[in-house]
Amino acid sequence: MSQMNTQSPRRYWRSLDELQETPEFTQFLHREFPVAASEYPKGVSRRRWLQLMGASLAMSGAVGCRYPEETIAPFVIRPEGRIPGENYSRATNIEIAGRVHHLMVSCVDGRPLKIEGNKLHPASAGGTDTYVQASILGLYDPDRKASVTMRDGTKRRESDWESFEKYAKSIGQELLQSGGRVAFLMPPSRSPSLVRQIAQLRKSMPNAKVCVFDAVHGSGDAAGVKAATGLQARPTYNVKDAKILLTVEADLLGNHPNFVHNAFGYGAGRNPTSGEMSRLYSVESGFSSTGMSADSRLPLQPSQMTPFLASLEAAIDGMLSGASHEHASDEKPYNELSAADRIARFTDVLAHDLIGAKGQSLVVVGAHLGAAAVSAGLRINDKLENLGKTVSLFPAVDAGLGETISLGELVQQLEAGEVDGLVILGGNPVYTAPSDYPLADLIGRLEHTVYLGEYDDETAVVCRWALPESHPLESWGDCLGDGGHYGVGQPHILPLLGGRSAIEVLAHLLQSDETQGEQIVRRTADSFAGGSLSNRQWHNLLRDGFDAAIAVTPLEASFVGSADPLTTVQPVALETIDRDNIEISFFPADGLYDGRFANNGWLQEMPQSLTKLTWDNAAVMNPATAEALGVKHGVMVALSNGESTLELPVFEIPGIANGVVAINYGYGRTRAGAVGGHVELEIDPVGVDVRPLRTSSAMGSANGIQARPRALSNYKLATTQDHWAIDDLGRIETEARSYQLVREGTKELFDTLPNFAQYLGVHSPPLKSLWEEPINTIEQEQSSLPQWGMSIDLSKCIGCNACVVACQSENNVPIVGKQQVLMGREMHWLRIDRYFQGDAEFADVVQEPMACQHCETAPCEQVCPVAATVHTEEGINAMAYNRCIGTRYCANNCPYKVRRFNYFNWNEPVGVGYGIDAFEGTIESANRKLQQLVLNPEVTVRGRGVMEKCTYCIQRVEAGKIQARKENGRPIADGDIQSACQTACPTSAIEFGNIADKKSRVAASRLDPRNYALLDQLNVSPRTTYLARISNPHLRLMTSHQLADLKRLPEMDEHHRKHAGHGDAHDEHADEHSEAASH
Amino acid sequence: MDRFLFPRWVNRLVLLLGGMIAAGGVYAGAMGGLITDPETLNIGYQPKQPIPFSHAIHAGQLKMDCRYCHNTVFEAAHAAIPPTATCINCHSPADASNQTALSAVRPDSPKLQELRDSWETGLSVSWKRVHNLPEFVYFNHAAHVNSGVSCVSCHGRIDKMEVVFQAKQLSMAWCLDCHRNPTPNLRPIDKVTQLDWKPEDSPEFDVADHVKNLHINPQTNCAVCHR
Repeated sequence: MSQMNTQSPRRYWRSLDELQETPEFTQFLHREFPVAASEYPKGVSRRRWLQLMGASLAMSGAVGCRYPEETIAPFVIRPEGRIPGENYSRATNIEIAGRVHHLMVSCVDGRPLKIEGNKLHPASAGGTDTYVQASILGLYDPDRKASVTMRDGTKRRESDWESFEKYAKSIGQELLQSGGRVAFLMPPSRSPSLVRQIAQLRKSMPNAKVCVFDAVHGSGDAAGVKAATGLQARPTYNVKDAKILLTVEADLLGNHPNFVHNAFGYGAGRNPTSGEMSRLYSVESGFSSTGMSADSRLPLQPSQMTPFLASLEAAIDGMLSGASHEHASDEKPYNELSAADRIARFTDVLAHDLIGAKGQSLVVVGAHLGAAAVSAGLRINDKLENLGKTVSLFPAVDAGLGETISLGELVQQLEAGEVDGLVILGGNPVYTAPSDYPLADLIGRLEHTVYLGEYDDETAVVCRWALPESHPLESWGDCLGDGGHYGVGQPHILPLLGGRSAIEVLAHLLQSDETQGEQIVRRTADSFAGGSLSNRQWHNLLRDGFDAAIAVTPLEASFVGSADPLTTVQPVALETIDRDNIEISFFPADGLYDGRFANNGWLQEMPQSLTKLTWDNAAVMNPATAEALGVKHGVMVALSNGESTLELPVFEIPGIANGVVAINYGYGRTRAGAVGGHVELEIDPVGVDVRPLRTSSAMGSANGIQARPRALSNYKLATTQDHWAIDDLGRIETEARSYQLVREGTKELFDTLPNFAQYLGVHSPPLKSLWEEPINTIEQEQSSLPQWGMSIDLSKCIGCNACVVACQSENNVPIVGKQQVLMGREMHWLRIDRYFQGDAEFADVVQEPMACQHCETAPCEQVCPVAATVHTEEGINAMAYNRCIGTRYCANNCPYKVRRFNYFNWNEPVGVGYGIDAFEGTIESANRKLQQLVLNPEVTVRGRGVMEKCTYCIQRVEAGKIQARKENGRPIADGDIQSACQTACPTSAIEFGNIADKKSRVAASRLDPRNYALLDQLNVSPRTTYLARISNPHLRLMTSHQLADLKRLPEMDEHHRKHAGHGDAHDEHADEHSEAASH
Repeated sequence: MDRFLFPRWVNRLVLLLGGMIAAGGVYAGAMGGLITDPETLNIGYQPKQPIPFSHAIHAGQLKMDCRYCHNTVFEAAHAAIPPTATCINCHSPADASNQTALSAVRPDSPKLQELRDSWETGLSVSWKRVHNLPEFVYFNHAAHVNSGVSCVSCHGRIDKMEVVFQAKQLSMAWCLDCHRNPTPNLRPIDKVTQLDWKPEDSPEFDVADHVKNLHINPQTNCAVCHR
């Protein structure tokens, strides 16, 4: 029966290993878990293992029969409104990794527990990202700096805030008298309070210098906007209103500072069913999240970006002045063109599309291409009448700093001895600065240096004073959001480790009377509101997180910059790869940003969006480049710029531009902590520090790099991509079937055949069970019961991983470390599968979030010998952990491979093991105890030997039901219960709710013609369904697969309808079908 | 040498030993079963509390409502143990000039020393937990009292206890008994804290209507309590 569709022209594969059938991949396919479960942990002999097991058995016998006696310690005076053990949410606005987040932090018993977006905020609509989701783990990181340290000569000793204040006072006077040659070094900030204070400081020290250094985005954006419009402004893109979008080396849906706002707009513009469908073009050297979501993508070397932009502008100018736009009607499909022809056609179609959507198009140029390119991008936007429509320029917060200097200038002044004192406000510049600036030496030479940072990092150790900075969730702060809203950040807990925020430290330096964070912020809020805020207004601002009236509006902008073309050079397609002239593109790591999150285990173990690599960075290149360099996946390559050399493992992935090596920075930290590496404590750094090649002139990309293979020994890269082989019937079958798993089509196809996704599935006889399924009986007999279901819109999913980290945070999912990931033992309940389509030279990517599908007739339940996994009446496939004996039959029988097994007691080091004496009386474990605070008390912490998986956030479902019960047992309304992944998603790709309620959004999604269930031919009736991915490429940029589908599927539909009503007589048509398909 | 022959009595000894081993097994099995039965293990558990607080006086004689102290019971999973401040409302200690801030019921009783210490030092009174469920059980008070399940159903006649002890099994089988047939334990919601309530006290109360109006449908699947 299922023969019919195996002839599909589409072929999906998960990795190059799979495409090339390497032995490693074959092993992945043939073993349930890549390494057998019976293998003992490394370094523990079988005998020792049995001894340990024997000891723990003996211990458990001695514990006795009753639960240990527990003490209840109630408050002496309970705070007003506090209900012990219950959740409450408080609004806040924080800046993390250059992004402003509008949040509703959920807390229990005074401790922040889960980051949720502020649904009511107009700029983000509740979206979040991975950094902010994981920031809750950062808050409870015991490796954060816990005390003020002071260096006397070469010796460091602990000090305290009072001593620092005394020092600041006396030195402040001394420095002022000697001319006030003080410099401030800070990362870019969007906090009006901080900027106001520095401006104030500069008044009393007119000779002070301020250096703003952004290690990730550089200063290209600000300089470009200044050159183009003469304004000190920050661009915000109204992605929602843009019909045609172009990104040139700008990761709008990835590492962009406005990510959440952009993703929200992108999601809003991808509704094929309601007709809203934007088109995204992406030109890039690496393979970013934006590139993965793009409808048409053009890989180009970084050096070709400027010529491309110039040629695009020339084409637009030409068409605007009426040049003819003609092309043959019987062109070859886009993927069959030569590389040079591809550039030409891409540019032609793009220019045509952009002009067609005048005022509704958007061109974004990456900051690393430099001020001239950013300015040219704005010029194109101006020509397309987009300024003020899809591009808004908001006044830049840091314009208030006054004249600033670049890091290069600061280094020059330090070298010339023109600076007497240096105050560094976070950002760890010693690690993030370009390697040709000897910042550590220069700082070490200075007499007076102060560093405020969250960790005792590379910078802290060279400064005279190192002060602990409080976490954004512990301190007062403020920031100006992407939509211009002024937001206050309020503390959710007192500083756990005695830190202070930058504004509090500056207040002390200012000798100001206002040293309390709240006073400082409120003073700023007053000036923003244009007058003194009443207590009532202030409290409303804190409660809601924003006030529509307290915001800045976009500036009136027009292009006043130079009209000269960017360059006259034409972009060329690289045909032969020269191993002495390789280009490197540097990108911030998916999880680690500029390295600041290196000690965050959730982010280290988060599979990076394209490579699915964890705990490492690599030299990512396409197979053609790897071949030209004589290297292959997993071996080391040496990259050299003539002065320094860097060795990195090769990661082959299609889609990277020819001759380009894409590298993530942020790894190789030497003073990050117990997770991210700490050389002094003999903890190995994670990944490779790429600074040797990331010099001041090559912060975004480097060219002229020589690449040579190193020893052919295999480096073990811990990826999660091939572990969970979804079908072991053989590679060919897998490939032939995978298009049934991720179904996609073009907008043209969708317009002709809305339910095309049905024809991509397996043609099966009517699916019926031999008996009446219990869940169906319940659905009929107890129709008032909610039936939970989920719908995931693949058109909206950008694979950003926010859901993955949110799930980890909500459900106490542990991290397992690189060794265990290599064995396929990662614990993520929710993973994002990605499939390549096409061939190694021209590949497209599809992503698919995958968690337990909550099958109505779940195969896992039928094989559990102890009924530890059973169905609820409401259709949730529940796990009773305390019943599970760990046979792992369920994982074997799960067609989706979403079950996770606890091979070890992962949470034990955190302090929550089985049994009563989880804590030893040592300081070490008392310290680690801090980390325990991150655990959600509503979810069981699973022990060793227990299976676990997605529960549809059962704790939230039950909490929603109890809330309804408290309100006189009313029925549950749509939207009452939202899963953690759903609330985290910045594009609203996930809907969760009651599918029995026909008015619910999830029920509506299931009626969408794109709706399909994964592996539905198995009659498992999953409760999670997907909406097929619709891409929207221009007809001339479609690949041969897309064109073939456009012809093939409507034919199949016609054929099918001709035979409509054949019902049970299916078998007769089997031959006919396969014949038709093979035509 | 003569062959060694077991004396005749060994036959009987073997039989006896066999019998004893079998009986021992039965005994051990029975005792094991009985000792670990929740009936034996749980009921009557009565730890010594730091302050000899008498529910019999407060809830019984003085007829104070349960919610005067356990005021979160209708809103929260936990019927919170009251903060020291609640006790101080009545047992306010005298200050240096022998004045009490609030009502002064036995302000200098030696039994209340722990309470006064807590009030002065700001440290909690360390009450011992009596009703304790395993950590993988997520019991919610609000869900039960808002359905009309009384305190007495699970805690017994607290208003008659000098020192609180566990009166019911609180085992899973015991929970399921009520989840399968809740009607015997339902009453009007405003009578939930009236521990001596009898169905005759509210003749107008119709349990079938109550179940229907409040959509009471306790479930028995694992996820209701285990998450």
